[in-house]
Amino acid sequence: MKRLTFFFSVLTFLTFSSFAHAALQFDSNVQPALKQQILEDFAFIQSIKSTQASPMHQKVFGTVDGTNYFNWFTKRVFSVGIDDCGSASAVACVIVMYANKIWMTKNYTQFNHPQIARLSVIYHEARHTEAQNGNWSHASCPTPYRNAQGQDMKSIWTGALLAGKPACDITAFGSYGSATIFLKNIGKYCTTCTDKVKADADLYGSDQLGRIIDPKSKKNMIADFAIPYKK
Amino acid sequence: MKLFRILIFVFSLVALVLVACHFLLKPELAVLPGTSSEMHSANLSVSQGNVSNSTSTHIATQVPNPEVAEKLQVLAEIFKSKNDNDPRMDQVLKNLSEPVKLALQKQYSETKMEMRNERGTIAFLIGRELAEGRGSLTDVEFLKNILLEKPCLSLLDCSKASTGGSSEEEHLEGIHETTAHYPQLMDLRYLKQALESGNLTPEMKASIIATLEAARHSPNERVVQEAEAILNSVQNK
Repeated sequence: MKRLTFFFSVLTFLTFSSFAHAALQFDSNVQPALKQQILEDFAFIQSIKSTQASPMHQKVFGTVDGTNYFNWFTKRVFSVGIDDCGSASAVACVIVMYANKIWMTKNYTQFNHPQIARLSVIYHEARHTEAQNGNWSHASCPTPYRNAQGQDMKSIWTGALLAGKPACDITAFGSYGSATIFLKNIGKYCTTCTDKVKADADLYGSDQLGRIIDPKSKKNMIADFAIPYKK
Repeated sequence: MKLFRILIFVFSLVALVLVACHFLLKPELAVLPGTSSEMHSANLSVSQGNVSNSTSTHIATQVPNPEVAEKLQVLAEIFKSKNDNDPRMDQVLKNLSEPVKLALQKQYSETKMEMRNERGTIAFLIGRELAEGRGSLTDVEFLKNILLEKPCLSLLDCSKASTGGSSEEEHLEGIHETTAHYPQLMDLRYLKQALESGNLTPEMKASIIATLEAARHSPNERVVQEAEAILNSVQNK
C-alpha cells in the first residue's frame, strides 16, 4: 500500500511538473535547480483545493483551486528568465519592455523563504505583467508612513524610511492587493494545505495587506476575507 | 618462506585492526538524532536511578528511541524536499511526545540562523502543540528563548546587515522582513492562540504571559512590537 501511495505521489508530481513545464518556457540559462524549484512549487500550487473563496478572490482568481491559480499565472506569464533585478536582495521582477515574462534571481532558492512566500512573490510579479492595467504600478507610501503601533515603517536592511517610496498600493486589486487576497484565502479556505502552509499564508498575507494604504480599500479587504463565497 | 609468513602475519594484523575499528567506531558513525549517540553528558546521573521528573524526560532521549528517530527523519525529508505541504507535517509531526519535543528543540539550536524556514517550522511544531493544549512549561521556555534571540539582519548572513539599498529592495522587502523574523512570528502566533484557546492551566497561562513580558525586552524590535500588541489585546479582554 505504501509503495502504491509512493508510486501515485511520484506520478502526480511528474504530471503536474510536466504541465507546468509545458506551459512555461524557461530561458536556457535558468539554472536547473532554480527551474526544478519553480516547477515543484507550481506542483504544490496546482494541488490546492477548496469549496470556498472570498468575493474578491472569486473576482480575481475564481475559486480557491490549483487549476485556477495555474491558469491565472500562465495567462500572464509565458516565460521565465534570469536577471539580478537591480538588487542584491531581489527575488523576482518584471521588466516592462519584455511582455509576459518574469525574471528570477538566484535568491529564489538561496533565501530560505517558506514555500507559499516564494510563490506569493511570483504571483505579485505576475500581476505586474498586465500592460492593459498599466502594470499595476505602485503608489507612493504616505508621509509619514507608520505601522499599527504608530512607528515609522522603514527598510529593515537599510533603515531607510519607506515614506514617499513607490512601495504601496491604493487599490485592493494591484500586486500587493491580489497577493494578499491569494494568501489570505489560502490561509483560510485551503482544504488540501497543511497547518503550516495555512499559517504561513496568513502571516505573509498580513505583510502584504500592510502595503495597502487606502483605509477604505483595506477595510473592504478585511471585510471580504470574512465573507466566504461557496461553490 | 620466512618472508611469506611475515606477510601473512602483517595482513592478519591489519585485518584485525580494521575489524576492531569497524565495531568500535560504528555507533559514532551512525549518528542519528534521538539515538543513544546523542547522549547528553550532563545526564549521566540518570543511570543511578536518582532522577527528578524533569530529568526523566531526558532519559528517553538517551536511550535509542525509534519514535524520536522516525519523527526527525520525516522532518529531515520534508526540509530536504522544501515542500511545506507534505501531509506528514500534520499526520506524523503532531501530538508530539516530550522526548520528540526535546529532540526538536535541540535540533533548533543546532540549525543555522539563516535557515529561517527550518527554524520557523520547529517553532511552529512546538507552538501548535502548545496552542492545542499539549504544551509544557519546557516548551514555553523554548519559545521564550526564540523571542530573545538577536534579530536576523540579512537572509544570507544573519550576523551582517546587507549593504546598498534600492527601490527593488523596498518593493518586496516586507516578505524578506517576515522571513527574517519568521521563527519569532510563528512563535508569537501560537503563544497568542494558546492564550485565546482558554484551555490553559493557571500556571501555563502565567508562564506565557511572563514570556511575553520578557519579549518586551527582546533585542528584536519587531518582537517587542508584536509582544506588546498581544499583551494589550489580552489585557483588554
